[in-house]
Amino acid sequence: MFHAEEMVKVRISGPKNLMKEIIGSLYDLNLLHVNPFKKKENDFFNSGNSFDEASEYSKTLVELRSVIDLLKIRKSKKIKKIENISQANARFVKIFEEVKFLNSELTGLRKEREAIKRKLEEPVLNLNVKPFLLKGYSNVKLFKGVCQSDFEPELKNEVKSYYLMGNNEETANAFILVVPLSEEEKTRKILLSHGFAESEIKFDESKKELESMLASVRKKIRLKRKELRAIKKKHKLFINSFEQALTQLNEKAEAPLQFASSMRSFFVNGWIPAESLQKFENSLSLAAKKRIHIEKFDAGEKAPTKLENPKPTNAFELFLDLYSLPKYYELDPTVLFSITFPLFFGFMLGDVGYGLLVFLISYTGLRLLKPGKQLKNLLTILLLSSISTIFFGFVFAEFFGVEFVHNPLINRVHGITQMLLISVLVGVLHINLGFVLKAVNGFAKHGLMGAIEEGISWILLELGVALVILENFGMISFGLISGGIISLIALVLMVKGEGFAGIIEIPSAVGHIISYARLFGIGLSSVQLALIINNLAGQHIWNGITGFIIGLIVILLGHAINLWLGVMGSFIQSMRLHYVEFFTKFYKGNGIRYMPFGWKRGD
Amino acid sequence: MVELELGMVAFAAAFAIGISAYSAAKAETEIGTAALGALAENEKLFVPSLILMVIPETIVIFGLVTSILIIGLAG
Repeated sequence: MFHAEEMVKVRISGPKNLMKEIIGSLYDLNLLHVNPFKKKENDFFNSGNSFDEASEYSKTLVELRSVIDLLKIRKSKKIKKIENISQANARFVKIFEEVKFLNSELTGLRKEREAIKRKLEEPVLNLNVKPFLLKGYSNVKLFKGVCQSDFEPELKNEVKSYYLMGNNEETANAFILVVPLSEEEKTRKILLSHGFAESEIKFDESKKELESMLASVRKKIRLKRKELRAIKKKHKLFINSFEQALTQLNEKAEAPLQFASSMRSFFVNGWIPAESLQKFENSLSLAAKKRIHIEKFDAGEKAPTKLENPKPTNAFELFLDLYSLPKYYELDPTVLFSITFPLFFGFMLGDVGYGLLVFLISYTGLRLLKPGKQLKNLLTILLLSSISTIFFGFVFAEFFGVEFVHNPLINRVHGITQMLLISVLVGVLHINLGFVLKAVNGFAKHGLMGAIEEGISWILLELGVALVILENFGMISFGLISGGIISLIALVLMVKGEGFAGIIEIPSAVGHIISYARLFGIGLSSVQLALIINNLAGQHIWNGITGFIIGLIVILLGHAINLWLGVMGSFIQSMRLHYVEFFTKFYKGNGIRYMPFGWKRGD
Repeated sequence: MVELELGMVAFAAAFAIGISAYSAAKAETEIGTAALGALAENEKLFVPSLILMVIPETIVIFGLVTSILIIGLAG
């Protein structure tokens, strides 16, 4: 519960001619977390080679995935078992050729469509000149296009005779200019100096023709896409099944890359969960006809982490997934998370009405949505948090901001000092819990002295400082000397355990404790907003029918927004208190996720 | 005269929370921009970004505590 699942390190060695059977069995067992073999200089063993068929498989897989991508086939759980791989392969080759051909045609058509579209956008088309008028001249030169600035005055000065059409706002500055052949060079220079862009339009393309061309290309594209859709519909199941089968084959064929091998034998290192060891050994030696040897070792520091927590606290593993998994030997704080997170959340939101709403939303979400693993965990977390929200709602006696009891246990709006004290006290407790966990981690690594130096020293320091402060307030008389001595001892231990970095951490620890004041700060802002909404609605709601409608809208909209803000705020702040203030005390993380060699269903 | 003093206390409290909130917001704009940039490159950085994003919020909490202390000390 507080530790990752126990692992055993194993080394499996066997003859090479049985490698395929052994890999198949390992794959089906889905238990071994492989530790890849890395060759050192004078190792007798080499890294293994993948089976010959691997390159064939991965080539087909690339093609297969490109088809999946192209046809936009979604992954589905519906899979048909593929009995004969070479038959399936032949079927796929046909599909692939067809799809490839259709796709290249489609690409060509799309390019054509873009070209026509570009031409249609040319301003020269606005001039509506009959195409046959624009060709067949031998003594004059014809320019068509757009200039960025007005060239006509300059043209007038330089060129004696010309004919200009367009070049006004109506035609979006498009023009057709005709000059004698002898003036061609001069005219071109003038036009270029005004940013001339020549039109690509051929002389025989009118707007009408272009439009009908565009329509026919579009029709062709539609037909091709229809053909592709038909292929998708017909072969979807097959393609998905083939992809899965091939991926499995490929994973098996490439497995030896992580093995160590000699001429005739091989071995592989890895970890398996201790409770499955017996089953693992039996099935494997059966598959290898007993010609196999399995050595067992202690898990060691590098072992992978497989979190194991009872329901429903395992939903909180989400927070570790998002942050970083604990190392194998490290404490797994999931269960603690599952207690303190809902408490913090509830303390911040603390309203019976909001709690009920969150409960309903997360409960129906869990029931109706059939959520994936992450969303399911999130909804479970919200469900547990909403229960605590309802509990604190009764403590503060709040229902959508309305106080339903006159003298609640704690009044959030008026008992600010009280709330502040409670929050900081919670902070002190939570952070000290962190130090205790740090001591536990220290004990696991360096024994009793480790625990004292790394964790207990902090608690001692707090005790010493507390004694000094109490004397200052005149509550006790022996505080100054005893507190000073205790603090000094604590400091020495701290430096011994963590070096001077520990001392630098002291001010931040104080900051962390005050940081827990957010527990009431967030709540206070949430209540105040709810009160404002209620007041605003209250002013209108008994003022006739329109007032009633306005009031109702204010209440519904206001509380919806406030609920969203409150849930987001409470969730993120509670998460933050754990990640920043709590985890930094003891949590290292950076564990390796336990990923057994085998088929991973879904994600 | 009493009312002026009361006003000064309220003003001081408002100043404490106001300036700290402004500072936190200022810090968060920069962190948020950088975090979004990082997220565009690598979606797995969501949680580290989120943590970095909420770190300056402590400043507001300090401001809040200070305001409450100001009001409390003034009675």
